[in-house]
Amino acid sequence: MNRLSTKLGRIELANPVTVASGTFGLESGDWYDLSRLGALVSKTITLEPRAGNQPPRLFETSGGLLNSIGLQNPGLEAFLRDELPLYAAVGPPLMVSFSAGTVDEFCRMVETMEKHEGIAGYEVNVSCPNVEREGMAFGTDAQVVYDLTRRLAALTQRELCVKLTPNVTDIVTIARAAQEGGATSLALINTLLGMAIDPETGHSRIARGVAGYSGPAIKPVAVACVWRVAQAVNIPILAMGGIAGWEDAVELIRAGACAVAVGTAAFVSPDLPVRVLDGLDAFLARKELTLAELVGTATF
Amino acid sequence: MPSESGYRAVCRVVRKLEHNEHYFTLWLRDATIARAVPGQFVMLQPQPQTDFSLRIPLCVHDVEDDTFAVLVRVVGQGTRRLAAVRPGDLLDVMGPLGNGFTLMAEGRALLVSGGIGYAPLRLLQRRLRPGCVTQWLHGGRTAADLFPADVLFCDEGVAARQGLVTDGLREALAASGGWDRVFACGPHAMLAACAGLCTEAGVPLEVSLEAYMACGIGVCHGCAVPAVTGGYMAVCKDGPVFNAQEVDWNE
Ligand SMILES: Cc1cc2nc3c(=O)[nH]c(=O)nc-3n(C[C@H](O)[C@H](O)[C@H](O)COP(=O)(O)OP(=O)(O)OC[C@H]3O[C@@H](n4cnc5c(N)ncnc54)[C@H](O)[C@@H]3O)c2cc1C
Ligand SMILES: Cc1cc2nc3c(=O)[nH]c(=O)nc-3n(C[C@H](O)[C@H](O)[C@H](O)COP(=O)(O)O)c2cc1C
Repeated sequence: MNRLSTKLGRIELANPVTVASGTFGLESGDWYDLSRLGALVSKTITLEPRAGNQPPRLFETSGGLLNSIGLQNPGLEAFLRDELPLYAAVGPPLMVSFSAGTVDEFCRMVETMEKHEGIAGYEVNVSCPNVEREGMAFGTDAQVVYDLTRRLAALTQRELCVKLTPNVTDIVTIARAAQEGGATSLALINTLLGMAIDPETGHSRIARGVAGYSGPAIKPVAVACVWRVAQAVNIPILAMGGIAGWEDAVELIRAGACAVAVGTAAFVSPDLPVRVLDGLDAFLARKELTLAELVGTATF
Repeated sequence: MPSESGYRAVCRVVRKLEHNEHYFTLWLRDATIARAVPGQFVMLQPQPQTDFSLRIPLCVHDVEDDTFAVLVRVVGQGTRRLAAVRPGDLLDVMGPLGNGFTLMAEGRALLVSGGIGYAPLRLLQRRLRPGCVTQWLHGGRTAADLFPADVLFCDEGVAARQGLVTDGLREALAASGGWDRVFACGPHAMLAACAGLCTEAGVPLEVSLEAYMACGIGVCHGCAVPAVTGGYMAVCKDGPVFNAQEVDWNE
């Protein structure tokens, strides 16, 4: 028996370790065998190509990273034509992360993707501005998340994972709304809002001002979000936020996650996902546990 | 272009040269990375890694047998940490990464650098010779920013000419003899000025660019530089060497 096997909603994963959207590309395959991942997650794709934000887009802070990439991507059509076949050829199930400015546009994108083989599921990035609601992020309004998820659920039998933003008053309310709308799993957390200012000049370190904060510094936030959401929903959780070693993955799994994604810390150690996998495997062997037995075992 | 993709090694520091309080050179041993071509870079992480910090992107400055050198300017926390490294210490290095300069077999090549922009041109100059005639113009804000070159520009120090290195470039481009290609690395404003002068003179210019970088391998899209065709190019994957005409210097 494979002690690492797990299920993310409708898809079976050989192991629980995957990659965080936007921090991974096929280039990562120069550094480790991508077929060892439990699943692949694409960067967020939008209907039209996006050039991304004006630089500087990055700033390192204590224990973490601020980024403002601006969803740079080649657009859905080019992604499906040029990248999907390459992702599909790697082997593990592919989750396509995607985003849009309106509910209709989200739906149009799923309808298009449904016509293509090689996609195991969708990771719905709801951290982007909703153009119908004065640019407020989709993921901050439970009713909008419910409506969006319900519309998308009607269009697909594939895995439907909603990726939650932590920049809300109560992430549990949003998680419940996604579950009620028909999400078959949840991914959390996306980046926290963060900002850094040059004390000398007063300029924001990032051209666009406020940015997304990620990396080891945000792990406690992720663990708390996963713990609270896991208490409130019965669909599986894919957890990310600050994983820099297998111990961090164990923490998130004990908090209630069935799968984990490695993000920012892989910029320092490009083969980190497989090292997390190996470490987790050794841990489970030592504890004589299966992954399923470890999920949600945190106590206090 | 990179001969080895996905190469990463823990390398021993074999030599350290402290030029002044702002600059030092580290020589590290690794036969694979020592096969870097001029213009390529490495992502370097002091070992052992304790707290999270991004790797430091550094150009390959020179190579010798199975060793390679990086020339470092101390600007902040990461480079200050690196400045504490001693011969015998180990550093975790990814590379060589990125593309490289066009290596001409013969002709006349003009090298132009400002400050730490000196770093990638050393190996380039050595590889262009002896086939090419080279002239290297280097400028510094202070005497501490000066390194051996054919002509130095600085407002301090006796060995240097007064003024900017771009003044030297203007003169060199106007002089008889002509240049087949100019290679430049330095602050953005200097490179933008070089681009203007080379376009006017009709001489191809290759620049090595810097941008705040995280992954170094083309996955995070952080190190963006504006392209003339619209959109952005990634310094780590599309560069760090670019034809000056590809870059939108106005943005
Ligand atoms: C392709 C490439 C080649 C380079 N080659 C050299 C070289 O040969 N020698 C050399 O001394 N320097 C080189 N640099 C610049 C060097 O990487 C930065 O100076 C260094 O990362 C700063 O780190 P720090 O922690 O000391 O500074 P910080 O305190 O973090 O910042 C000081 C300054 O450095 C810039 N900086 C910080 N982090 C980065 C980063 N990750 N990438 C780029 N800039 C950053 C900041 O914008 C700031 O202006 C290169 C950069 C790139 C992208
Ligand atoms: C450079 C960068 C780009 C990112 N791009 C995306 C993206 O396109 N879509 C998305 O859903 N999340 C994106 N994220 C967020 C990550 O997927 C992840 O949720 C977050 O960074 C927390 O995990 P970490 O701390 O391990 O990085 C990005 C993060 C970084 C650092």
